[in-house]
Amino acid sequence: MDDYLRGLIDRKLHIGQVSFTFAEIALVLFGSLLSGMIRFKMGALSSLPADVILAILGAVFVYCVTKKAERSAVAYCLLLLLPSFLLAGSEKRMTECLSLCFVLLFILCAWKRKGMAAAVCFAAAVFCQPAALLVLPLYLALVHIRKIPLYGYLILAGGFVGRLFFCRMFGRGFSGIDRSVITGIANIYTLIGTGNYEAEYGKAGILLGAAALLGSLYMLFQAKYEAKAEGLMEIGLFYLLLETFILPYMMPSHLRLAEVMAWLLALAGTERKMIPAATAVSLCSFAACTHLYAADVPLPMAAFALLHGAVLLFAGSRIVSRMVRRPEHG
Amino acid sequence: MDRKFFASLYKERKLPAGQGYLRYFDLIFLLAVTLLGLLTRYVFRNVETMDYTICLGPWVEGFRQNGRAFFLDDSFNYTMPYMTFLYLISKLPFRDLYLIKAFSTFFDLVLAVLCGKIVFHITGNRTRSLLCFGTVFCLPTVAVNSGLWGQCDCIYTTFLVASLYCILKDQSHRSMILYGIAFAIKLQSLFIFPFYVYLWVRKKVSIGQFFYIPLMYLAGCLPGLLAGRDLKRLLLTYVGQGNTEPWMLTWYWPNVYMLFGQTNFWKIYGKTGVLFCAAILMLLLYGLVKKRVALSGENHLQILLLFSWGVLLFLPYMHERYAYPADLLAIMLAFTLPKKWPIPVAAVFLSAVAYSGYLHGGCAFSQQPLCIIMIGLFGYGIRQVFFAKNPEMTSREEL
Repeated sequence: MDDYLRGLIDRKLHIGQVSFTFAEIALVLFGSLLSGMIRFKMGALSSLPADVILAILGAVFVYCVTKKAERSAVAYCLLLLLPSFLLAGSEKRMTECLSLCFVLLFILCAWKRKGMAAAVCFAAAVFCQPAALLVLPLYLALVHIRKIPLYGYLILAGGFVGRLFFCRMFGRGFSGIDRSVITGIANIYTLIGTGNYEAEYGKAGILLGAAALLGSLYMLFQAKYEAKAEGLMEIGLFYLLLETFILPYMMPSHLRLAEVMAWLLALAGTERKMIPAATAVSLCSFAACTHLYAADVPLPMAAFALLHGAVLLFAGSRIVSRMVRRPEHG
Repeated sequence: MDRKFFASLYKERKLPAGQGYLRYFDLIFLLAVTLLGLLTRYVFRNVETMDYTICLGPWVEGFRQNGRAFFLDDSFNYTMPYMTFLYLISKLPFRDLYLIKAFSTFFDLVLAVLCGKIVFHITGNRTRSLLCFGTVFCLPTVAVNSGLWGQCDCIYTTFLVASLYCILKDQSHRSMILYGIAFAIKLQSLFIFPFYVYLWVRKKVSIGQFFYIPLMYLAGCLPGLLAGRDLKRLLLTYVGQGNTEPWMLTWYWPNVYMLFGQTNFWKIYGKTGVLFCAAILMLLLYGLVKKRVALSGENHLQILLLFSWGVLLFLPYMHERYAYPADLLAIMLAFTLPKKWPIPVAAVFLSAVAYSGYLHGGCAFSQQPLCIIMIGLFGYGIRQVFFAKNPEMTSREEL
């Protein structure tokens, strides 16, 4: 009996071209069960369907990139059990998860060289939640290397305008940003403070943030880079971390997007250091959620801001190490 | 269509006067980043800090009411060049706050262009020079210094950077004249004076050219002299600046006095700190002379940074803004040697936190751990100048 059960763990099952073991099935089942129980205890069971959809898509994403069932099973469980997602509860979760799903589909389609589909997925992500625009630099990078056609901008504009109409018709908030809070998450404004100049820092932060994005894109466009899944995700993660660090009015939901990207990159990529980096992003995201919902964190938020900055620098160094400069006229 | 669009974007156009090539892509970036920097300063235009309400505003008002006779007043302690500028703007029918900030913004632009030119001169890389321009002009501390604070650190820094540019192009006369102008505007330009002494040792400047410094200072005093201000008071302007608030050994700047405290020994530290700092600079200068550090473009920046950080770390009475030139030197260094990118990140971070101390009445967290970063930067500077193994720093030349 013991040997039979032990043998069962490694017995492979095949569904189409996908093969996995009972161990993965057990992991998925127990992960789902635990996630459901935690949400039930927290009174946030209604968020489970949205998170399951995201977890499934994350697992599919990891499998498409790695072709390894064990990693995709781990991705599924991780995405269901991320503390910040558990804590966030049921607040606007369906649109957030749908937007995240479309962002993952956008990256997958871009990697598979289906430019039109990628453009449509990104437009859909923006339609669900304008915060998906934080991934816009990656979109620009893909247009630049002609993985997405130029008229993809029209499709994106369509998604944006569609969102505007939707908000007008149903009286919903457009951006979901709380403009009274400049330090919704631990970022640069936590470190330097805003004092009496919150309004000015808010506007200047957007302008200087745009300048930083412009400069980094200018540098990125000077180099050659391949549109492989890992490379695309690294670019996406870097810009998510950069924007959440330097832009004002960032909310914990924006950092959750970076958190998902970080963990998928850690599981789908080859860089081992991404695992502690993803852990750091999760810590920052959880701290932001705790600060928002419980108004209390065990460490000063400045510590998490420094951690966020450190992961940002690490993500930047990964991109710089991959770039090969285009030859330039003397 | 896509191919044609990107081809036209990247097509190189020859610039006039043999200044190289520029693409539409570069032009778009330049225009966009300049616009963003200007808009940032525009956002800050109405902010009035204590420096404006207590000093600059009343001084302009004094010129409006008394004209040139205000040059004889005792209420100001800035040097004549900047006071002359305030006198000139008092004649204009616009809000003085906007004019003060616009003047500083103009110098921000000039400064950014000069930094880009220095990077281009050293590396020959157009992309890096344009990025350096964008970084300097949109640097938060630079934008806040001129746009929000209304300070004039960009003015003397522009002349310092221009002086460095002339040195790189072997134009020693112009370099010393520009350095003299910087000294005439702000005393803090003396932070890098030992570098010019080293240049003299290396035969890059002659001893006679050092007389440009007091000459430019005297030239700057002319408006005050013509208005009837006493020459002795004009010559002792900097002495008067140094004597205010002697108990504050550091104004939010993370140096050694913040680490060791400034409570009971402020008098002793204040007196001996200046001498101790001079001793440190003397030792650094001695080490440079003995090691015969080569004067490549990057080395100029490394050596300047070393002296700047030494002063910032050991000289008492440091203000939050005094790292302004050092931050820009660090940025230029990162664009010439990209692997040094953590240096400007750390340097600008220290400055940004120090600025928040003044602007918000206190920092968001204790600055004492930041003193360790400052010490680390200084230690790194020593390592790079004296102990680095890369050839550019250790080639030996005959005197």
